[in-house]
Amino acid sequence: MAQDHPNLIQMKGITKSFYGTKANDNIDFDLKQGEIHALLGENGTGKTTLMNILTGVYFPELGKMHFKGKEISYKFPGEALKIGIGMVHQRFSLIGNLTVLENIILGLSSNKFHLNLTERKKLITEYAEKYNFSVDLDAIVDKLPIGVKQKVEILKMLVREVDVLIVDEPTTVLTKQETDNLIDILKKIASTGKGVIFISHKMKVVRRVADRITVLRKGKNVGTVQPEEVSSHELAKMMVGRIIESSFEKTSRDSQKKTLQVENLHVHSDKGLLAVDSLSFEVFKGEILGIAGVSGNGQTELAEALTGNRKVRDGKIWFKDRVITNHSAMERIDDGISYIPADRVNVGVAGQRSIWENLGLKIYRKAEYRKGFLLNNKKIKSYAEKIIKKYDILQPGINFPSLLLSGGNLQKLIIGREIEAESELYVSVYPTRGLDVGATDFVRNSIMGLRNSGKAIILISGDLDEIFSLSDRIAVMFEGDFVSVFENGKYDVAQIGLMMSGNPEEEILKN
Amino acid sequence: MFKYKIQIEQRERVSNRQEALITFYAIVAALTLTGIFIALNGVNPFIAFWQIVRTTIGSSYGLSETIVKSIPLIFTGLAVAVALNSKLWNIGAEGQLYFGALFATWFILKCPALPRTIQIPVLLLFGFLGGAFWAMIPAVLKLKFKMNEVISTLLLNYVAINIVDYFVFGSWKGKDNFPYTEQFSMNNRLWQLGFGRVHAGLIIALLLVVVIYFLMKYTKWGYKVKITGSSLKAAKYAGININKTMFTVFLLSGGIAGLAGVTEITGMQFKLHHAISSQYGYTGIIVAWLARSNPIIIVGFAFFISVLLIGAEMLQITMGLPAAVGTIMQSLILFSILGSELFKNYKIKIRKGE
Amino acid sequence: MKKFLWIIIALLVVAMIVGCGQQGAKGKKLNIAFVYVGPIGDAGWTYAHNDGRLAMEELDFVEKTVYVESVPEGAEAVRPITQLAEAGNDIIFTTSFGFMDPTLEVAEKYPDKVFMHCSGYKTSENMGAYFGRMYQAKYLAGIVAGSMSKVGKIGYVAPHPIPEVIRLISAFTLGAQSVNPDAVVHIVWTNSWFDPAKEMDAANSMIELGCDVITQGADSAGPQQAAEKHGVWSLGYDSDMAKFAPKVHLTAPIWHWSVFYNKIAEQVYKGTWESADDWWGIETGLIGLSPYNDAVPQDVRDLVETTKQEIIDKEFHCFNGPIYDQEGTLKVNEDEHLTDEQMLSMDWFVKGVIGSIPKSGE
Repeated sequence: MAQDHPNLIQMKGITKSFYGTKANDNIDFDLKQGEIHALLGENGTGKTTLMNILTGVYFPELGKMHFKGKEISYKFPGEALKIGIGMVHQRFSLIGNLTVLENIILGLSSNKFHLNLTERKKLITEYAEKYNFSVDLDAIVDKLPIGVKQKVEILKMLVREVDVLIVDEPTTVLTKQETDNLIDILKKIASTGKGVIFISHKMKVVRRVADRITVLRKGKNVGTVQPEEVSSHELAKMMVGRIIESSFEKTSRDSQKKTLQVENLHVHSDKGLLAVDSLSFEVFKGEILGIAGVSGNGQTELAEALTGNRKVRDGKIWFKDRVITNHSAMERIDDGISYIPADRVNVGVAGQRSIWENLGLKIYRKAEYRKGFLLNNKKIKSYAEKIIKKYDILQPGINFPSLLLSGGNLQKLIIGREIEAESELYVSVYPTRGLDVGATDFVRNSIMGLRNSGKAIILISGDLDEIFSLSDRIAVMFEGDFVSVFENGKYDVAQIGLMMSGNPEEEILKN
Repeated sequence: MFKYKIQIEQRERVSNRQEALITFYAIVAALTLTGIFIALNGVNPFIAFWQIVRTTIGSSYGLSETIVKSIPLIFTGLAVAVALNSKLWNIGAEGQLYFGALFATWFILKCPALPRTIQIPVLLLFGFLGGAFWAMIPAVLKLKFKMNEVISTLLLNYVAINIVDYFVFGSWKGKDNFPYTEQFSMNNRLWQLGFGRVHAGLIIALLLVVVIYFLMKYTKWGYKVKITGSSLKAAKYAGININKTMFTVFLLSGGIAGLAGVTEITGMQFKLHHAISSQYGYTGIIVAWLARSNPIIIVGFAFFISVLLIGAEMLQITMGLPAAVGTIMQSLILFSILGSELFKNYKIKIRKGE
Repeated sequence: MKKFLWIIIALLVVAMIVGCGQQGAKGKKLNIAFVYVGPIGDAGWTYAHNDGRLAMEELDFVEKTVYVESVPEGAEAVRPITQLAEAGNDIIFTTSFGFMDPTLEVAEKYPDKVFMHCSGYKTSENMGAYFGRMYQAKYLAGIVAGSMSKVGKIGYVAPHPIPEVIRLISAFTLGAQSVNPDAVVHIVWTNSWFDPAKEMDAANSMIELGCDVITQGADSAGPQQAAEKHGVWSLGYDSDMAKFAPKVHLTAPIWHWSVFYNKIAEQVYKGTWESADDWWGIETGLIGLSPYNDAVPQDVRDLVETTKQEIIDKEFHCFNGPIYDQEGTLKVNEDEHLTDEQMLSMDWFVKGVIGSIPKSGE
């Protein structure tokens, strides 16, 4: 197996700190020819930093790196690619309005003055075939699904003849089928003698793809194992340092007090198509209504319409027996509706503004945070400090911009802020997507806590485990309407899966 | 082997101190390049720079003139900065300045004889309204028709100046048939502060700096503006009416630029004519940028730029250098600041090689 | 960094000492300064004045001359004028109408210095006004243009609608009509004294309109280049513009400022200068036509020469009646001509000018 192959990469004693915290603390790491080596760890444990050091984006304070036995010493970012180390980042570096072909040849150093497109195309097609890619080279990148964009990024690296391919959290945005396809491709690439470094926080995928797994925790190397040597339980323990209990204490449900009622709701998508189609439902005080469904069936539009971020075309919304259909987003905040949006980075916070300003987003308008005409920034800041402490948000300082927070801490900021706003209804959309085990645990516990304190919650999620473990009632959404709404426990995963593809309840009962 | 090697590393983020240092180095670099240009003209650049200092802050007349010139630059710098706070580019301060002057002049021609203590505040109000009105056009174009404000504000500058020309070459021209209005009477002039030509516009500008500082930092409106400037989606999410916020930002920005126009014609020119602004609207962009939109720092940079402008003018007299030196100096500073953005994202290390 | 700063400081100190040492004692010879509205460039209004300045440097009683260019009109100009007075200049010439009030303001503060303002009307004890009767040269240029035009349509790129410009356009039109009574002059306002692109566009549009001669009242060579490109005749202005349109440039009404400047300098030097409002005519040599294009026939040259002589001999006035305005109203009766005052405040075009003046007054 791969173990006998010579070393491609050897990193020894790598140390790097940002603002006094050690992002990488004396880490050793190596990669052999022909293997897929996974870097597993929660968000913010230094995986990406380590790879940024390997590719010359950052310089280590301590430690040495060798590539094919030679010491690496970078002068500027971008040099790594020249010597044969390529990285596919979480945020792609493709240019949207160019074709796949143009993107791939962009910056290829040879033949600066003459672009022989047909020749280039032939060459790239050869690469694509060699590694089982099916990519239309003439397609405009912006129009491609995200999974295909990722393939383009990988193809870009292969054409540049890299010996080491690093992929950073490649499966976060992929469907299950796309993930399977990616794993096949990566295995194929490794089989040609190249080395692949696979960064992820997803244990299941890592176990399937990797030949070896190195686990990072808090910037330290916890250990390198082979997937078949350890159980999932042991691996999880290495990652988080404690065992996650995924059962929740649920108090009994409250009375049948309606918090929200929706009747015959019609909402348009950005493209002007009907995204929510004659939808009617209600949510009661002290319950979690889980909304399951394949994404793109109107869930986000529904959430936006409920929170005043999208116009209601037709229908009525009651909140605590008052009609709020035409209330603005601000009025709904004042009514007592909180929104935990799917897009944490761009919607949930104003990234360039400070952490305290983002934490104050829901209360700065209140009279008690003002001194006469002026804002009482001191009081808002101490309010922010309080939330940070209470929800254990790891942050560099409240005056720093919130875009410096890791994914999990950002979600803690948002959820903490919304909980403290003491709303009656919480609309949360994909609240744990992309989060590591610890943060996911925090989010789910928070949602459960809200329920137990008598709030009404709408939980839109793509994770059926999450829906099952949290919801009191479950609704399955398909093409803008609910296929069915039922008490949690009535149907199993397979039956819900059928409903998600549009099969009505009656049909499922028949089988 | 080489004794030293240069390495370029990406930065996490820069602190305020680093940012200030980068700006400082950029200015030093720009002045060095200007120095080279001056040397190529056969003049010792150190003597030239010394002359700039001596003829501006080094003499009481020069100092008073430098302060006079920084007044409109404080206004236009503030105007651009207010807009930048919500990520709007107001390239139209020049046109708004002219429109402020136009509105105020209209009032002076219609109603010239109110007591000075009433007349002046009314004129300031009219100037503010004039600038705000002229900024409203690109605001509506952007918010209703999604037209890029960089282009619309820039082009409207030319329109504004032509409209002013239409009046001063037409129905507003004075008895001598020359293209400017009659001189304004005393009650239409700002108070002089007794130091050269320094007028009360300075006090108004400094008060405005304080007001804007507090407005941005300590009011709900400022909070909304900053959130809107960071992310439109987040602002919408937080219940902020982003169109209303951006609209008010446009109006305020234009109004401030309009004040530059009024104070210029009532404090300095005492009449309306074609050339009331020496590109103050455009120079304000540089001032706002150098100051990173911080109202208090704007005062410093408005003064600094006006030292350079007046100093360059004096270089013609004392050293026989062409007027282009001033323009070149300004362009080089802007260029260096733009170039220095690189150093905000990357740091360069010089290390001893092994 | 610190080291670098110290070096700068040290050099500044040295520069200071050296600089102070250079301040020599002032002799009796004259120091003369100019304030220009535009850059000197390579043709046009400011260029012509600068030629006059350079000529003065040759005079043996002139110590040195300096200038400040691109000075904005209005109150901004007070500063450079003051600084020039402060720097010990004996005569300061300001060469744009927008410098009139600033010049007056500074003149009051420096009673022992002579201020000369071009193209205005205000004077004081130590401030004179001066200008030239350019309309005479424009009339002569009109004769050349009217003779050379086949279709009788001439394009005139006009800067700002002020009396000076209106007067020149009218004189030019009368000159053209003196050889071709049906000649018309189309005008396009650029609302700028110097805007090469706009002026070129204006010329192009009039060439498209069918004009076969182009001339201008603005400063840049843009109209000349447009004419050269389209192969229509052209006449420059302010300074000889033949180098921009060697094939088609017929002639240009031009300024010889040295004639005037040398005289003033001499008067001041000898102590005979007195404040006046000078309006020099063609007889002084201040104005004239630049060398002709070979294509201008001898009979046209002769006609220009005779007319010029008649003007000098006061036998002929360019604005001799009868003159009708654009609406056909008789403005100047037969055997009369416009007075200087009427010319200086002229706000109407003669018949044959196609274009309008923005309305003034209520």
